[in-house]
Amino acid sequence: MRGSLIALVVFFAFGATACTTTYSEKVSGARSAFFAGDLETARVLLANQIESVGPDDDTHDLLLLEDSIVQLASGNPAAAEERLRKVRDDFDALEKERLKQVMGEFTSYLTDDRFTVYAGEDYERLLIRVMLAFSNLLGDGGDAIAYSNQILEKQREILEQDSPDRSGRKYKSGYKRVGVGAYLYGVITEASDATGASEARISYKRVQEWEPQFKAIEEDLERVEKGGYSRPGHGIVYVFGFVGRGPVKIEVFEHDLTMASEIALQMMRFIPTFRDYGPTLDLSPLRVPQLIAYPDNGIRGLRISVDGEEHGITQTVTDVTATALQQYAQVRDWILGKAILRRMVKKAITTAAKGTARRVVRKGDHRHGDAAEFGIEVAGIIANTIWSALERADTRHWTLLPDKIQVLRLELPVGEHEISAQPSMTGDTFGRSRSTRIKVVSGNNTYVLAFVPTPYSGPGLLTSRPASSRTTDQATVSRNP
Amino acid sequence: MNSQFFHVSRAVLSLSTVAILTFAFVSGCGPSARVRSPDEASLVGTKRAGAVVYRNVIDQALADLSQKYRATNKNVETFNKLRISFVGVDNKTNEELGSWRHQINGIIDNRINVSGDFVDISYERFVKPALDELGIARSSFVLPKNRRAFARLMEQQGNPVDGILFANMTQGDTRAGGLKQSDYVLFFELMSVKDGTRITAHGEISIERS
Repeated sequence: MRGSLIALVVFFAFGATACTTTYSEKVSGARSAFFAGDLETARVLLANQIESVGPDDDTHDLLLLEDSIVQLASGNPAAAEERLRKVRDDFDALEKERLKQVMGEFTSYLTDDRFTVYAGEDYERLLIRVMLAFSNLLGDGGDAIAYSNQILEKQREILEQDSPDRSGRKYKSGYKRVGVGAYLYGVITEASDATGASEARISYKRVQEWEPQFKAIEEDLERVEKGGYSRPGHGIVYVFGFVGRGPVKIEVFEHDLTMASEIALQMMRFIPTFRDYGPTLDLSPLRVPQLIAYPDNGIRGLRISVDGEEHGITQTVTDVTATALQQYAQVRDWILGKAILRRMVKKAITTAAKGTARRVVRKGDHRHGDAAEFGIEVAGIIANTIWSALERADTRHWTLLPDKIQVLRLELPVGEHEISAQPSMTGDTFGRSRSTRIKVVSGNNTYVLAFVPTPYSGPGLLTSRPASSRTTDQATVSRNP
Repeated sequence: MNSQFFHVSRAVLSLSTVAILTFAFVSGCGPSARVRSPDEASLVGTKRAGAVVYRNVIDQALADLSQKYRATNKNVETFNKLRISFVGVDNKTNEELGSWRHQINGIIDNRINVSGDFVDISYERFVKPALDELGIARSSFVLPKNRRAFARLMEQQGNPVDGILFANMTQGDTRAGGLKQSDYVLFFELMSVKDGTRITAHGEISIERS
């Protein structure tokens, strides 16, 4: 009876582990289309995927996140906002659904981490709110302050999380703070009314502390301290750039750790109690997820021109990749720890199965008892090794995020202007130049967003205030210097 | 020993069957919907402000505004209803208004009209298009020339205005012992188009969440 139960568990776990495609495989087509600048194909592929997986699938929300980026880049900020809001609420609910989490964890110990409930990596949960703020700014902008507040609130919540061992340690308190939320709050409140400058000052101070590489914040602080949001007859244009390709989660083999843990486990055979039922030998390496920077991000900034005249280069207000990598490094030990624990659970199950099989052999007074026991041991090793070898690392992640979020503030005379952005690398411009016509209004902000995942691809510029005499995106391409 | 193991296994299997059937039954209880009767209390949002918060603060703030407006005109025996342009709600909370924004603007428009003291010019139909055409930020109405430009445009469209009504929704959160208290305040500011004099009013509500 017990033997059949164990066999049943192992059978289903084998099947489930072997028959699942990774998330990266699911979205590879849409991702390639997006980075090649073919937004229509990316949208169709994602829509098909979303429909085929259904709302109960673990990757459904991640697919919606990918789609939100494609929608935003396609100039549909309201659709992007709707998708982002849904995923934000779903992830928030999942964080609180203990039963679902426990069930997911339990299944993952028999299979792999792809079966855990995915409520987003910490940096993704922050970036959802960042993207909500940008989507709203490109729409009516009425909720952008709320979303900026949500970025700060979520960040505080993450930093205060207790470690899983319930020791009360705030194991994420060393996370790098993300400054873009505070920056957005500052730029919106600074434009809102006379009292906004003092609130903006507090926000800009935070940005200065959290994002020391962002030198432009010193000018912002000087301006709010002296007063004077813009000169009479002028308005402000913020050109934001989503530059490069964000972090990538890949599968890596942990050979050293596997060897060390295997030796430690095999030492148990020297303990008399475990002599008969020693842990099953497992020769497969541990597969764990690793977050890495996309290797080919050559863009340093965007050179911005207004009506054909150069006005400056965007600066990085938040480095998405650096933030994600730093956060991941802080919690990587927990991920490795769990992978080892999973291996031990699988060993315990195969060891128990071996024990049951041995008892059956001994009870039956088998003529070739020794050979049978040897066969059981070998079968255990093979079964355990295959079971572990079928494991795949959980590489689910939001794949269409930018590498960096950059910005340049411009003060321009009221009226219509043509804004152009071209990728820049160490002073030289290269790649595709994109442009759009915008309307600048007195004493108020106009937002421009440039999606530049690669120097030669990406959609045209998006703006919160298009000019009435708007022309279609004009693109010119120059070769890499 | 074997008999005991058999009984325990059977118990575990029975419990598992009950658990699976219960889970299947609960899972089968899909979403449901019903028409709420008008005298039922509105639901209080467990995560974000909702019907209770918005309706309460709007009613309170408007009652406060009417009271203050009457107080400033107490020596006038008969006064004309003030024609006001509500210029939309400014959200300064931690929670997006999302689809609520249109409803809030509509409710404020409607409540202003039934208040007896004011005549409202529809925000969505007339005021918003005028603001878009002028390209004037709400914060810029402190400048007389902007107020005059707005009043002139509204008059040209057949909607003369006496005052501009601003609405700011704010929120303050206090956390203690696993509870969160969110205080929502809606500020109204009625500004005279002619001389910029203002009447302010507010409505507030406090929500406790666990």
